[in-house]
Amino acid sequence: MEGKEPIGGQWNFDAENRKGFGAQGPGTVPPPARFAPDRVTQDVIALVRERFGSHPGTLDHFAWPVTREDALVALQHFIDQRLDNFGAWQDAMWTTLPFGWHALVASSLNLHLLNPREVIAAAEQAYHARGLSLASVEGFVRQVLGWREFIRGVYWLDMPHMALANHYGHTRDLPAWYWTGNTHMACMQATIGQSLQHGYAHHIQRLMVTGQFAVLAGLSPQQVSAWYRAMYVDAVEWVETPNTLGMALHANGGRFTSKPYVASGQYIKRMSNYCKGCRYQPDVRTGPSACPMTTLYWDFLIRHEQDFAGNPRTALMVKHVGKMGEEDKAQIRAQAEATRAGLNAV
Amino acid sequence: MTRHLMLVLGDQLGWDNPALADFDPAQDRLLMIEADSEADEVWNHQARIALFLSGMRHFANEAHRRRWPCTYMKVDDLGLPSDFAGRLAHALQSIQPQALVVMEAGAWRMERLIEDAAAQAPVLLRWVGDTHFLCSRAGFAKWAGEKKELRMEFFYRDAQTARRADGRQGAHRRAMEL
Repeated sequence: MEGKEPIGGQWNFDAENRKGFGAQGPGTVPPPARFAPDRVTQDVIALVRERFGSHPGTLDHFAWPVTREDALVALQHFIDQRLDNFGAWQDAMWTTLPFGWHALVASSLNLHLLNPREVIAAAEQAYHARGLSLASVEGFVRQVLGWREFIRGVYWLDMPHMALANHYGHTRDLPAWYWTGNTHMACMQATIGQSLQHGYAHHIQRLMVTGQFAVLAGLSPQQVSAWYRAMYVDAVEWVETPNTLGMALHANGGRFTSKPYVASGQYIKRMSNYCKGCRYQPDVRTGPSACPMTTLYWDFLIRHEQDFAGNPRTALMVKHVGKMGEEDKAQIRAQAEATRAGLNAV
Repeated sequence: MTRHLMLVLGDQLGWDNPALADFDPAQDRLLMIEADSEADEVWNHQARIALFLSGMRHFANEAHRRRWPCTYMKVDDLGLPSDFAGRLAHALQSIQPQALVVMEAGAWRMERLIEDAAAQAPVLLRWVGDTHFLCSRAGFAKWAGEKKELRMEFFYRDAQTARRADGRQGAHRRAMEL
């Protein structure tokens, strides 16, 4: 902030912060700080293997900060090596880059190894002292000062009923491959696969891959919420429940979001390399090569056409549905029905 | 005789926890509980379980270095109930503190569980606000007021403005007033 106006004269740089890596790929990305398990962590790892060995995920790659000292090193490493590029690529996804340019400080913040004030101050200080990208620094600070505080406020305001929210009345069971990654959908395979390896996926993977699929496929919000809470190292209930039920699944009917976050396989193609080599085609809605995400997306729009048409934020999305022939719609609906019936085998 | 028993939860591993501000090693005691029920409440990722357990044990080691009395229940300790509620009840029974002190938890269910355990014991329960966050629960409720739709973008602008005003007063640690 500078006087009453934000530095740069803009509150929000979202429009600059939505790039994909493009055909040339992400290039060289400095890896995040990771920490070899010390004696205490080694003992815990042995204990968890013995006692909770049937639980999902692996400990083979465990490298999270478990002390404040390590968390401070991780924070400084992010500020020095990765923050400058964080903004532009924060939504981009790439199969060989599970952490992208992200900070990986959420687990340390949520265990209170780090204080949000020092995290914000470190980013702002780097902006002033080293002239880092304003869009990057602003995009990062709004996650910590804005989204994180907001989400926690909403959780305590709306609990306990928030946990039961189910705006669309979705009741379908989570397909078994949410716990294994064994699906032919390359985007889900990559996102779930890295989640099992590291207990981590970044916000767009969580929102627009596993989250989008869950709402389009009509999965039970409570089962999906339990899955997110189980899967991610940073998933404390106050942050996981509103992000899942409110943001990803629109299960509370838009209490704090202006629209459901759905965008079809075409969005995933634009933001990642997942679709390359996938057996499904993101631009195909029906037939054997149709992308399940795309089929279910159009089916979702057809089913909620009236709702979407009445909301200025979503009216454009369903304009195309209005021009569709009845036969097209029937084909999409039949394909979506078949997809949902065979969900465990997609 | 224990004055305050201070329960530190797995997501409360900061030494800036205000519940610890007036800790007196001569008459107070920390309590940390590992329990199967926390790992099994949802079918947790092994890395998530390891992160919380390792973080808690490092915290307890630091307490030990500071010579702060600490009752630490490991997940595989024999002779204790296996679930969190049972272990908390067991600790309250055997330590008999004058008061149980806890910072606001990260889950609604956990707060109910602690309240139930304190009522059953019975023991005086004192909640301490979580000053890790810049915006208190009450502060957020006040900001939300009667708004039908809550929007992050507006909250964020108010938060930036409030933080700037706070900065001028040099008030870095107290909850911001929106």
